[in-house]
Amino acid sequence: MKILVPLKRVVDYNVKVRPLPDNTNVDLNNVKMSVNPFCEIALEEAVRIKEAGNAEEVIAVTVGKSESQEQLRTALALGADRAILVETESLLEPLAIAKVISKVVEEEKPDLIILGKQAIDGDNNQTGQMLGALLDYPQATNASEVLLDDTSVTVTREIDGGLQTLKLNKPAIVTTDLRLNEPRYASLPNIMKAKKKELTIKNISELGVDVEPRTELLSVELPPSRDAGIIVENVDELVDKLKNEAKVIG
Amino acid sequence: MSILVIAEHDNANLKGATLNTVAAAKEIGSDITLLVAGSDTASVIGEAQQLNGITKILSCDNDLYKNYLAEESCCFISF
Repeated sequence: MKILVPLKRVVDYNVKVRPLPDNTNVDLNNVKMSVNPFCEIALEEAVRIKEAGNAEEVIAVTVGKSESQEQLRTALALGADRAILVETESLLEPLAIAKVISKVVEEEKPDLIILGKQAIDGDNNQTGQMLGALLDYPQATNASEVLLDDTSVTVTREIDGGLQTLKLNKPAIVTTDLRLNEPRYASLPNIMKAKKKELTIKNISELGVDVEPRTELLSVELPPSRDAGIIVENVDELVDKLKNEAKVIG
Repeated sequence: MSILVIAEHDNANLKGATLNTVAAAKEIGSDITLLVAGSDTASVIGEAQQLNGITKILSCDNDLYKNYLAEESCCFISF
């Protein structure tokens, strides 16, 4: 069995992001970039399936700038067998990413595709679902447990107010929630070995997909800052403020 | 502009999120169609009929849609 793990290069989760001065986008200059945490969970799950003897190959794929090779090397150090970079200079939206990945799926024919449920930069939570629709594959989003057998995959999902268990026929798509697993750290020997693993680079134009944006980003702003609270002297003052300022009681 | 709102429900009652969605749709336009897909949804339709500002309700009642799986729903929504 072959598992494909699409992943995304994003601003590291420890970085406090800020908009560019003209509010056109997030300021990415001199900011630490990492593998999106949800994608790390997806990769960890794929590697664990392989280590349990249920898969032969784990392939990491990303769509992005040449610098994304760093994140693919990280994926290789964490246990992916080989990696594919579909190179593009433009910032693609989820639909375009899903189209590109569907082309990779057509070439690689994986039995299982595991993605992070969303990236921490755009918070779109769309690529996995769109990929499912484009390929007409069954999908289970927000997975907290993944169990495999010969022809199907059983996924426990985290939904509002409980858990839902779905059984999907392979090939299938799974997107990961936080509680699925705790990703490992790359060991130094594995980081060294990762440098020798195969990393294929393709230009996005080779795939012949329409990646024209369908939406336009108008502005990026910080959330409004919240005023500090006040300490009231006594209950009367509190009641007065609730009545006349906050207007929460009549 | 015509707007299609897909109702969220549990085959018995409409969920609150649908009201938010309908309210948002009303801010955008006035020709609002509500789609209720599920199984044995008569009581959901009843609730939907009480909502203000909806032009039309489409009902799609079949066992296939009992569990609201995306694979089943997206086919007929795009159809």
